[in-house]
Amino acid sequence: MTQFLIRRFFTMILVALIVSLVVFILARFQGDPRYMYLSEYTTLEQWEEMGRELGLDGPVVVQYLTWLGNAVKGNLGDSLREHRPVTTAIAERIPATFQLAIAAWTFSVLVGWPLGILAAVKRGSVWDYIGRTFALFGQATPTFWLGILLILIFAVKLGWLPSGRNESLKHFILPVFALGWSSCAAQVRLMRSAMLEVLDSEYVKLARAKGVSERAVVFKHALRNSLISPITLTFLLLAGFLTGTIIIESIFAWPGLGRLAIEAVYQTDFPLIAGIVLFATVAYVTANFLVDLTYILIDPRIRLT
Amino acid sequence: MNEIDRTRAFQRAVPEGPEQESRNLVARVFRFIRRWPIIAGAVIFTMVVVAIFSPLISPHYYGEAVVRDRNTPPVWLEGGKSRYLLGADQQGRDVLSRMIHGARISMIIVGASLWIGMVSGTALGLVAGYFGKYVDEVIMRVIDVWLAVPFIMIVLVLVVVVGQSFPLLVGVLGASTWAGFTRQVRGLTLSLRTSDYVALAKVAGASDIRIMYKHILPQTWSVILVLASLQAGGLILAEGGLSFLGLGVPPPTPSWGSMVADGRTYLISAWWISVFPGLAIFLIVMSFNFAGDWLRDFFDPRLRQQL
Repeated sequence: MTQFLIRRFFTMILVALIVSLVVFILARFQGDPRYMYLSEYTTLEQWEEMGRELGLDGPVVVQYLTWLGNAVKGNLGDSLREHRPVTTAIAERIPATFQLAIAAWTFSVLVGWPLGILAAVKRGSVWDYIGRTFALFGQATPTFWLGILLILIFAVKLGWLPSGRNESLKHFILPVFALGWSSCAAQVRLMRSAMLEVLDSEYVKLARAKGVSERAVVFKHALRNSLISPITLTFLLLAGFLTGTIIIESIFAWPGLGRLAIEAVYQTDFPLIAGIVLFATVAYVTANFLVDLTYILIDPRIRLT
Repeated sequence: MNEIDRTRAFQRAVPEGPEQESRNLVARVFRFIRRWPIIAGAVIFTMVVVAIFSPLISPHYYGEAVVRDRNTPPVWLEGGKSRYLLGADQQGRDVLSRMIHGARISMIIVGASLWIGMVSGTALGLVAGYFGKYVDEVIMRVIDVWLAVPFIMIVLVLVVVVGQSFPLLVGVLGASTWAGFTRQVRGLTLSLRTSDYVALAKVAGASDIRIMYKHILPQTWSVILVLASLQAGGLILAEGGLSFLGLGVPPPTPSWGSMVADGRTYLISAWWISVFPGLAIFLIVMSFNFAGDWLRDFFDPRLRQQL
């Protein structure tokens, strides 16, 4: 277990370092960062002074370490278009992304898991058919198209629901559905196949032969043992949601991280993009590590080795 | 009992399957459809044909814009013109022609990126599984790291620095697929490596490369094919998503994803600009997923848990 944890921990650090290195190299490809602050009144002394401040006078390795040190301290530079610290811009977008992520994730689990379990337990019935069709449709629907269709039907034609921003609970319905739909389908699919595998095992047959009630067989014997991969998937999906969902946020004009990222791309605001990418990477990698921790909690095979 | 008689006895002993008994044409057709992925196959086949012959099939040149025909509805709606079967977009370009050309773009991108991922992923998987030890360890750790990278974020940075381009898109999508191939091929190679025929090939003096290429690779084709089919759908969705955001196929080349994005501002007045290209993506992805599932069950139902 310790070995597993250590390996995962170093993978996490390594990923963060690699991404930061890529961002750094690409940032240097953008040219001297001092050009961003250059005006016609900048003197040579100020230019040199800026170079020392940003650590541009050392060798490349030192430059990288200085840049990384600043990033760790939360100093990601200023946004080019908004003329304010990148950290502030990111911080104010986090709540919206967080709300949407939690809502969509809850929806996908609350619908996906029961449907997957039902489809497996009542194999070949109407429920199985519904579950499989749902999974098939959900995994083939492009998220961006679903979002637009929902707006077209429920906001434009019927006028029942608002199509953008996060002002009231009503505003959550369409984006949550559009975002959760495909993840929900993936969970139905995985839950169903995991349950089917366990239901077919010898110990479930034994439990049935002993006369254990169907409810106990399903929930105590089968479900608990089939949860490992669905739990892993569900937390990875949550991690993906939390780092900002660019497509849904931009369709529904949601003031979250994903929309900030794509706006920064459209305006070629490199410091802002670099900051978002670093932030999202750290968040994503940490979430991945937490998934590994849950793995240890729920799977004795890893805990005991 | 000799060989032939045993076969004949076996045939007599086993009752004829229900397939032979049914003379009812409708029942036979229905069974045929259930057993073979006819609809999915037809959709994929149609798309490939359309992609190859798109300049011949499309009713108009995809870039031809007639300004006074802006937002013309599809032909069956009021105000529709027979010139534009699925309507015209905000610049007066034929939606159908653009979709037909978009099919070609999608197929090229998906084909090229799948090929890159398939070749490199399979090669790495063979090497990792065959040589084992630290080679395997290194490759598998690289995959661990790779799968933990938030991919879309790297794409964002690349697009800003390099700019929207075709090679970048293909490279990025190709890079997103290789790890799956490596994992599956490695697993198979690990078990095939210890089999007798590989040991015999070694005794016969075959080189490592020859064993991997001639003796192990042919055994992995079915898994590669299934995985490729399952990934094709995902790649089409990914390409659509990136193009939708304006990070994929550079304009004015039509792509289904960017067509959906074009129609966003005209949802109220001209829904057809967005709806039809999205529907095309949905159908083709569904077909690829369906075909992939079917291929998997056909070759080896045990793969169900892994792919």
